[in-house]
Amino acid sequence: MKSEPDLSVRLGRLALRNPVLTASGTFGFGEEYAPVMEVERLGGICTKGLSLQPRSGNPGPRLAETPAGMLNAIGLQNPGLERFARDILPRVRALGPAIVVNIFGSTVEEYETLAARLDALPGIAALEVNISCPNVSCGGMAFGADPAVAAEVSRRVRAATRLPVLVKLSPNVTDIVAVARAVAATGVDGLTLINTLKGTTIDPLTGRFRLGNRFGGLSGPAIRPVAVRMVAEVRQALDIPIVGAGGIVTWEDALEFIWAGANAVQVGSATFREPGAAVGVVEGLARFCRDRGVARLQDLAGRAAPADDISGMENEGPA
Amino acid sequence: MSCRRIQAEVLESAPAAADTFRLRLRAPDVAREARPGQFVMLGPIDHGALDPFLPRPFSIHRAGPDGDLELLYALVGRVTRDMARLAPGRRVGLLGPQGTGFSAAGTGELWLVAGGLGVAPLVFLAEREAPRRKVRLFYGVRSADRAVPLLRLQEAGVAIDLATDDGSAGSPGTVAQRIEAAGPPPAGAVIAACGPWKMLRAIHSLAARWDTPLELSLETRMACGMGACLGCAIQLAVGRRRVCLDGPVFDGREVFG
Repeated sequence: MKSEPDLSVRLGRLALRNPVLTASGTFGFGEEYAPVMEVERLGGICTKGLSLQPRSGNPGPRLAETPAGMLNAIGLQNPGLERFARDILPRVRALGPAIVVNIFGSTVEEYETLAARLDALPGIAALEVNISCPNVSCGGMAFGADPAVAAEVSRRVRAATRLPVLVKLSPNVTDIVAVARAVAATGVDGLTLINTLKGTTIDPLTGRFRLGNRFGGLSGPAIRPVAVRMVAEVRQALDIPIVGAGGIVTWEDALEFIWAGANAVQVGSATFREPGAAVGVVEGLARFCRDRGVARLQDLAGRAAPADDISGMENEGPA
Repeated sequence: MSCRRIQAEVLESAPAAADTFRLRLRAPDVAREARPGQFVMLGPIDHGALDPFLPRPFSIHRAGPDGDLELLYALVGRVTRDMARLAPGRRVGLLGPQGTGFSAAGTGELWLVAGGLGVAPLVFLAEREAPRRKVRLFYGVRSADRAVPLLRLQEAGVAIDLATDDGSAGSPGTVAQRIEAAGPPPAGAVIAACGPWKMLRAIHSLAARWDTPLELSLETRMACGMGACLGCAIQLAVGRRRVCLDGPVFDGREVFG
């Protein structure tokens, strides 16, 4: 009889019992999906992007389906810190998974204040700093596009809290490694790669943009090859925990990120399609490890082997 | 909270009117809990295909004590074309019942106003309410061939007033013109409406003039249908609201002020 494989992971100071989290913006604050899936089996929950003040978000339509994915332009609608701290956090911290609070601001000071205020609240496992939302005019991606600015936000948040800090990077940059390197140097606990890719869609018959905000963030399986590439590039360059995200639907998709160098993964849009998708990833990873005799899933992280000339004819993995 | 995630078995997919289909599913747990005005997210239809990616919201057209659930929909895109081709025995993802239903408070007359496919949830409401109160349905369609036959409602004693844009059946003109001619409703009546935005606005004006309580069922694009993604949030007179959980049925004054 084989022993249970070890799926646990440490992302800097953040310890997770399994490496599967829900991606920010796709899972509310964690309790919305509780009626229809086993929330308690997740490794962690990244909550909806939180700002100091409430935000009402963008005008609609906020969603548009695209080939093997979707565009969203929610505009970071959220109830603000006060209501989160008073009404929401006391409920979600009882759910079981690590609560990773995703934060954003329109100034560096806002990020800093938010981090400091959250530091005082019980039941938060880590912060995830969003410097990569493509859907708001100020803040968001503006902070993630320039390595120096990204590092400045990262450093200030890191200094403002004792909580573990992940920084979620934008793929909408020329050189993801340059941003990752600058942020990693600030001593944060890990990087989340990637946020959505900026895109749009237009109704060909009416000539109208399909999103009220014109542009939105592309997610879903359509972006997975880009996300896996960015994880692989950053892993090659840096020794820092990476949380991979972008189009993960199945456990095989998650494993692809892990081979590329991710230590943990986030399941996002797939939850809309199948509420149990993230739990399915947990189960699938455990099954894979059992079947292949992998004692620790982490041993596979970043171990992708190059294809060779005859890979098109063979069907072998590096394991 | 009674919302569930199930795989529902397809019982029948059949045409109901021009470009309009009816899908009957075996979904006892969902059907038993469903109230008129609630909706389900349907999908994936093909679990192996990643495109189309998202499920789609459909209002519940009928939920029988036998555990059958019916959806009424128009052929408008890839998903609905796939739905129309569903063979009996296939299983499709289903999430629901979800959202607020109609309250249709009181026992006075219930006037229902349907624009096109807006008839879908109102049939469910009419069937539930007809045994205990007088129910009238004002039903507007573009042309006679687009009107879904409603024999069961007629048998249940629901009076149906049809209006067609082209005058091919019923009274010519819009459903708003039709109900305006029939109004005002008697004291104690309530109105429930579902249809295009322009129609809803017209009905709201009438209900305000008549001082008759009005409930409106709204429709938007949705991703999660669980109140998590905020993709369906729209600006109403009272503020931004999620159509999925705060609605899809709203008081007329919440919508238009």
